[in-house]
Amino acid sequence: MAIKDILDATSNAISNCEVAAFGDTDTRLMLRACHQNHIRREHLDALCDQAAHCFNFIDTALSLQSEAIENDADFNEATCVSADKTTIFVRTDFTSPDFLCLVCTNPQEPDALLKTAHDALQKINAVQ
Amino acid sequence: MMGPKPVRATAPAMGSQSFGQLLHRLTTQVETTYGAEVAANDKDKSALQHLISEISETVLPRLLTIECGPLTRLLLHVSNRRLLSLYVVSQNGKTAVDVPNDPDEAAQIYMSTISEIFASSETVVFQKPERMAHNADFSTSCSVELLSMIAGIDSTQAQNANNSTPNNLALIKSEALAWLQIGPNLQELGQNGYDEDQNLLRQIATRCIGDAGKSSKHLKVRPSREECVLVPVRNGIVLVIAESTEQRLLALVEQTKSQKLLKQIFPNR
Repeated sequence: MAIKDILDATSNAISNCEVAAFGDTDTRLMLRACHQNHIRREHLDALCDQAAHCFNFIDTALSLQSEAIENDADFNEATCVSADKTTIFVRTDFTSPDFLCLVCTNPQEPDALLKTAHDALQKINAVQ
Repeated sequence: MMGPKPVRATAPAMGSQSFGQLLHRLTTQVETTYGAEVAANDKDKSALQHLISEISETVLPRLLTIECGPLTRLLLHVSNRRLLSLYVVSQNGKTAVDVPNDPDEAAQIYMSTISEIFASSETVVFQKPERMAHNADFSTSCSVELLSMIAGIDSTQAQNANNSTPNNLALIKSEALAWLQIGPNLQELGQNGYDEDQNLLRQIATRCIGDAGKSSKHLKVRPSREECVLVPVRNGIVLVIAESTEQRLLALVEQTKSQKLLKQIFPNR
């Protein structure tokens, strides 16, 4: 299964999924994306930037703490919530620049989206 | 035969106050709440700005109801980003505010009437606008641009006001263990928790934003105005990043409280 197929399947599995994309925070590029027609490249670039900065906040915060933090899934997730949109970013672990982004236009429970995103990212990692 | 329509023939008396003075009072004194379910008051935001915002965001015909204190209510017919007509409901009944055909003069009368009532009210509560039929009998209509110009409000800023409520920032701050608010030329730090929370937040901000946490322009994760960004930073603690028109807020909040906060900030989700 190709990455694009995984993104397509993920997008189809979620109602009102605007974007399902796989990107790299080091290069700040979306490598593959499945999205609605009105989404422009600039929007994907902005999402990539946002993902990079969100994970930077997490990594910085963790580096400032003396206690060792296990590679908990919570620290590989970021959520952006608005009145009518939910955006989530997930990565595999602290060291990985690969991330998966989902944007849904109707309010959705972030927890369910996060699980879907982690599953999709796991599948992508398996095919790489 | 139609019954007589109660109308006010002239603009309401302004007393000894100029329109400018009224506007100043509105921005400094009026306690404004937005919607019955929103408990927090917002003294910093002008009720007029929210009114302009409501008109600016209304395309389909809607009836906007504003409760001004316990005794007065304003009814505004709004459509296509225009104020079509204004009614004042008081103990004396429902009265239409009569305006001339000239939109400039009409806008002056509309805004001075509304300003005077806002200024004399201790609370101003905006109700959720209701859908309205097209065939209502309207007087001279005024565009949101004209109304905002007369009120001295930037309608583009006002358009964002509902989504960028300092109300929300205040709400987040009240629940935060520590918070850092960054404006165009200032930063403000506060805490409800321990010093270590504040220190952590300060260090995160310094490293991720730079010393230039002094200015909001340097904040890298810039949520669009209506978003709250949540990232976990410690076990059970999330960093909430939110912004208003000119302010950005970074706050450390307990994860359990963050969900409650989101429900309060976005009640219709």
